[in-house]
Amino acid sequence: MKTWVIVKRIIRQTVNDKRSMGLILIVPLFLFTLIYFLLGDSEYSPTIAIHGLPEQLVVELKEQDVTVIDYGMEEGKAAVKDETVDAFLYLEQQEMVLLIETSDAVKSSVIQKAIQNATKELNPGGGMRTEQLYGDSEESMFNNLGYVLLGVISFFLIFILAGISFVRERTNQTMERLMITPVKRWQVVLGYTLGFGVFAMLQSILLLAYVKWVLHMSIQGSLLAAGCVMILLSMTAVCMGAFCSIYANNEFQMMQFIPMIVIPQIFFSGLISLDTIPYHLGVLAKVMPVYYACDALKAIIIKGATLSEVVMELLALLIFIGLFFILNIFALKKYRRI
Amino acid sequence: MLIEFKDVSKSFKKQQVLKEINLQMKEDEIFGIIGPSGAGKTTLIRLLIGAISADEGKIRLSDYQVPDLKALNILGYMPQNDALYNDLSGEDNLLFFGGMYQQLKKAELKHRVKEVLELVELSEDAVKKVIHYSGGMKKRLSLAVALLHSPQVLILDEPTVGIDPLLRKKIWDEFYELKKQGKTIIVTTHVMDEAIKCDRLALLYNGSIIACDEVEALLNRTKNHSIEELFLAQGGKQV
Repeated sequence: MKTWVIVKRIIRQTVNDKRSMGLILIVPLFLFTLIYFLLGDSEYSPTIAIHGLPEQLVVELKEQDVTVIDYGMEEGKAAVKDETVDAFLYLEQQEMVLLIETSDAVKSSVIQKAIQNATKELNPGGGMRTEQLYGDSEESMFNNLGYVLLGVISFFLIFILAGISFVRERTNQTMERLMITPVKRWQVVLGYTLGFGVFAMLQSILLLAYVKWVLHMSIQGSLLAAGCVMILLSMTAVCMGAFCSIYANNEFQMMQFIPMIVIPQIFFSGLISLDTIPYHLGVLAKVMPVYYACDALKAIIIKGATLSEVVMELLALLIFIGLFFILNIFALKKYRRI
Repeated sequence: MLIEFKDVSKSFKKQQVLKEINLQMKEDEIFGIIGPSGAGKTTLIRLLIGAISADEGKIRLSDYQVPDLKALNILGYMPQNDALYNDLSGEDNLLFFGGMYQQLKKAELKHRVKEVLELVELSEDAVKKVIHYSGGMKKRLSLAVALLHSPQVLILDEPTVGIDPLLRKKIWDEFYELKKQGKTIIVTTHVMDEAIKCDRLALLYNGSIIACDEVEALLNRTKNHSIEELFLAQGGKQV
C-alpha cells in the first residue's frame, strides 16, 4: 500500500518534470534516428579501378552501382594511394585482389559488399565466393549493431534518471523526511524500483516500436521477447543507478559514475568481439548486465531466438536486479537503522 | 516524562560527538536545544528519530525504546531544508507523506490535508507546484507536512531560519497552540532570541550538555541576562 503511494508519487513527479520525460521518451528516439542515418545504407556509390577482370564481372559490378574505371596495374595502385578511386580490383595469377584504402570502415564495407554481390551473381556457389564479413548483405550496419545500441542507450538513460533522482532526494532532504515516517525500507526500495520501472517499461516499448515500424530494423524474433529483455535491463539500470547514487553527494558525482559503470559496459556489450580480447579479459563481461542483455537481444533480433532460448541471460539480469535490490535496502540504513 | 535520554554517547570514527547526555522532555512543553554549529544538535535529533543508534545509553520515547519503527508514528519532523518535492503540488506533497502513516485512512487523510493547508494559509496555493512557491510558503508547507499526522512530538531543526518576522511570529504562535494541546515541541537553534521563546533550554557545547533549565533560570545565572555568557564562560574554562 505504501509502496503503491511511492510508485504513484514517482510517476506524478516524473510526468511533471518535462525534461525527465524528454530524456526517457524523446532522447532515445532521437539517438536512434541519428544512428540510423550514421550507420544505415547511404546513397554513396564507390568508384573502383579495375585491371584485367572478366567482362561479366565488370557488368555485374556496374549492376551494383559501382563506377568502374579501367586502369593499368601501376596506375591503379597509384590511384588508390592518392584517393582518386576508392579501391583497385585486379587479377593477379588468376587470383582476384582488392586493394583498398581502409581508413574509412563504412566505405570499405560498401565496396566489399558490392564486390561480393557481383562475384556471387557471376559465379554462385563457386570458389570465388569469399567469407561474408558483414552478415546478410541485404542488411546494413544499423541492423547488426542496433541490438547493442538498444541495450546500451536504454541502460544509460535509465541509470542516469534513477541515479540523479535519488541524489536529489538526498540533497533536498526528502529522503530523510521519508525515512522518519514509519515506512519500511524495503517498501521504499520497491516503490522506487517499480516507479522508475514504469518509465523503463514505457521507454522499452516505445523504442522497440520505433525501431521496428519507423526505422524498419529487422527483428527476427518476437517483439515481445525483445521487450522483456529491455524491460529487465532497464530495471537493472534503476537498481544500479539507485545504488551508485548512495556514493554520490551531488549530481556531478553521479555523473562521475558514467565512465566507471556505463562506459566499460559499452565495451563489453558486443561492439567488440569478446573472444579476441587478450588475457581473458572477456570474462569481465560476466559481471556486466549490459552484456547479458545484448547477448539476449542479439539472439532474438538477429537469430530469431525465443524467450526460452535466452532464459540464462534473463536469469542473469534477474540476479542483478535482486542483488542490487537487497543492497539498496541495506544502503538505506544510512538514513535509519531500522 | 515523555522523552528520556539516559547516558547517551555517540562517536563517529573515534571522534566523540555526544558525551553522556542526560535529558528529559515533558508533555506540553517547548524544549530548546541551543549550541554553536558542530556542537552535536543534529546528532542528538538523529538519535531521537532513530536515524542512527547510540553507542552507549538509552533513549526512550513514550513507551518505545528508540529506535523503534512504531515510535515514528508519534513523531513529526521538520528538517532544516524544506525537504519537499518541487515537481509536485503542495497538496500532492502532503498526500504523499500522509500516505506513509497507516493510521490515516484515505478520507481522513484528505480531511487532514485540508485542515493543515488552512492552518498554514496555503489553501489557495494547494494545487500549485512547489517549485513556484516562495521561500516562506515552502517553510509553511514543510511545517504542514510535519503536523499532518497530528504527532505527539514535533521536532523542528532550525524552524525559522531565513524567514520574515511576521511569519516567524505566526509559526511560534502555532507552536504555543500545539503546546496547549499537550504536545512536546523540540526546537534546535543557534539563534539566541529564538531560544528564549522556549520553556526550557539545553545548552549543548562540544557534545556535552553544559546547562539545562528553564529559560528564566538560565538567564538569571548571568550578569547581563544573556545566554551567550553561559557559552562564553564554558569556552573560557576549556581554554
